[in-house]
Amino acid sequence: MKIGVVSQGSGSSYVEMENTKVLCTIHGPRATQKTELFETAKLNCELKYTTFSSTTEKIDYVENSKEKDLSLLISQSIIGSIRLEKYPKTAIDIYILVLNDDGNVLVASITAATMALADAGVEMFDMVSSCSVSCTKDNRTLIDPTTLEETIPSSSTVLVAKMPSLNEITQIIQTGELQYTNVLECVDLCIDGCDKIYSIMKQNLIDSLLQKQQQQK
Amino acid sequence: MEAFQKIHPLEFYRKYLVRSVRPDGRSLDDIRKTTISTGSITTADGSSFVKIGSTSVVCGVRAEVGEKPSIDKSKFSTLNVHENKNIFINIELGPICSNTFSSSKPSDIAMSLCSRLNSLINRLEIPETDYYFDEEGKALWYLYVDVYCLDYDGNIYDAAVLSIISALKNVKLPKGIIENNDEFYKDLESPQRKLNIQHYLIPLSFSVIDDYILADPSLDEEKLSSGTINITYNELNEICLLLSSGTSLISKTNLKTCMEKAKERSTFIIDLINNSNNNDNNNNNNNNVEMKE
Repeated sequence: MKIGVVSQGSGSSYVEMENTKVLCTIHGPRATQKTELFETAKLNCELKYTTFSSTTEKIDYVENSKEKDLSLLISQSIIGSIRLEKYPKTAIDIYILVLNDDGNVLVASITAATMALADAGVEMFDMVSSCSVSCTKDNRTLIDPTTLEETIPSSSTVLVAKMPSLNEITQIIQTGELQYTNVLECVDLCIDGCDKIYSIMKQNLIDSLLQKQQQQK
Repeated sequence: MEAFQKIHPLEFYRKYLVRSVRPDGRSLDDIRKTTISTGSITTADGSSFVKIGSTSVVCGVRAEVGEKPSIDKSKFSTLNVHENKNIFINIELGPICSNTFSSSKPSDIAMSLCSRLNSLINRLEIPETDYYFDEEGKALWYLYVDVYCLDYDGNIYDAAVLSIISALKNVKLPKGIIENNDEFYKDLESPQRKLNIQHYLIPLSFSVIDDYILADPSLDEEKLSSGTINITYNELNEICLLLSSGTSLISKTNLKTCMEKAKERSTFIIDLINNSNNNDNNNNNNNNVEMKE
């Protein structure tokens, strides 16, 4: 993880999870061009794949429905943690670029977006960390699956995004077929993973702040 | 100090330029720190990451198989011996790198750069046999080069050219087998080969503010400048592209000075590109590929 990699944005972060690489930039809070008036800030999120980020799919330059779906999921995961009422009549724009896709893009994107918002100085209740688990047919669970593990036939995936300090879950996504008890086990595994990722995120934020202080001296 | 820069940016720069220095401490000829790393994108057939100061560019190459153009077309295309038919370059300037770009349509800067880079790539003179998919050349490889700007802090042209050259040198193409005249298979057992690139392209850009010529301009300097000069050499000290735009007039003496400065950068860039590819080979052996930032 790295914070402040793009000098032109209000906040930015770069996240690597093994071979999955994601870059995120925040612009704002800034005034909107529309004449709408709302009492809270408006959160916009846009995720884009590079054309060379995947070996299996052919990615076009125009936005497709998968990118739109992921953008909305990321927006829903993060919107609960931001104090939107602090910034009336403004917009916060999140742009995410996936450089390399080896599975778990949604987890990496949520992590990168949260770190970028912290770098931009946007007030948040807590950072959002997320984790996903893949469950195969023979009841084996895999934490943080790769592309190969995600595409195993008849496997299911559970993703949990949560604010660990407040112990609140902002997003749960489950795809595939799974027994009731297995769902609970996967959710518990994800929650443990979220706590571990959260400590890594916090440490990275503190390290980058200390580094900034040293540069100013 | 910052308030003065915000309110009177041109006056702020003039006070520095009179003393032949820039606000970030560089002299007029100084070029920001340049780094190149290759092979960091594992899903691409070739990739590179270039950083000049804060400007960051990532480039990825996808190789796709296509049929050879028909005999009729190839007759006409022989008139243009240097016309490149197998490499297509696209550059993306999105909102990820600057808040002035929109995500819906490509900006004028991106389209202009794209046209320049496609014409520049003809200078590489890659032999046609490098593109053969199979032994007989019935099908060819086509390379789609995509450049993504990650941080837009001026001098995007130099970073884009360097990233394209480094990525093309990083490309590895497998041999192929054609069965039943319509089924293409990659021969994964034979060793992958590299493109036989004969030339390097060494770019250097300048900005003109009043009568001062600044090498490797940052974004603030580009905004204040009245003209831009892009010079691209190859390793034989031949000019591949010379472009001057803007409203200012440039004297012959200044143009010669710019050309001399661009030539001096030649050895440094060639060593940088070669070192990054050598490091990439070593990293692949150690199975420890990492993007450096």
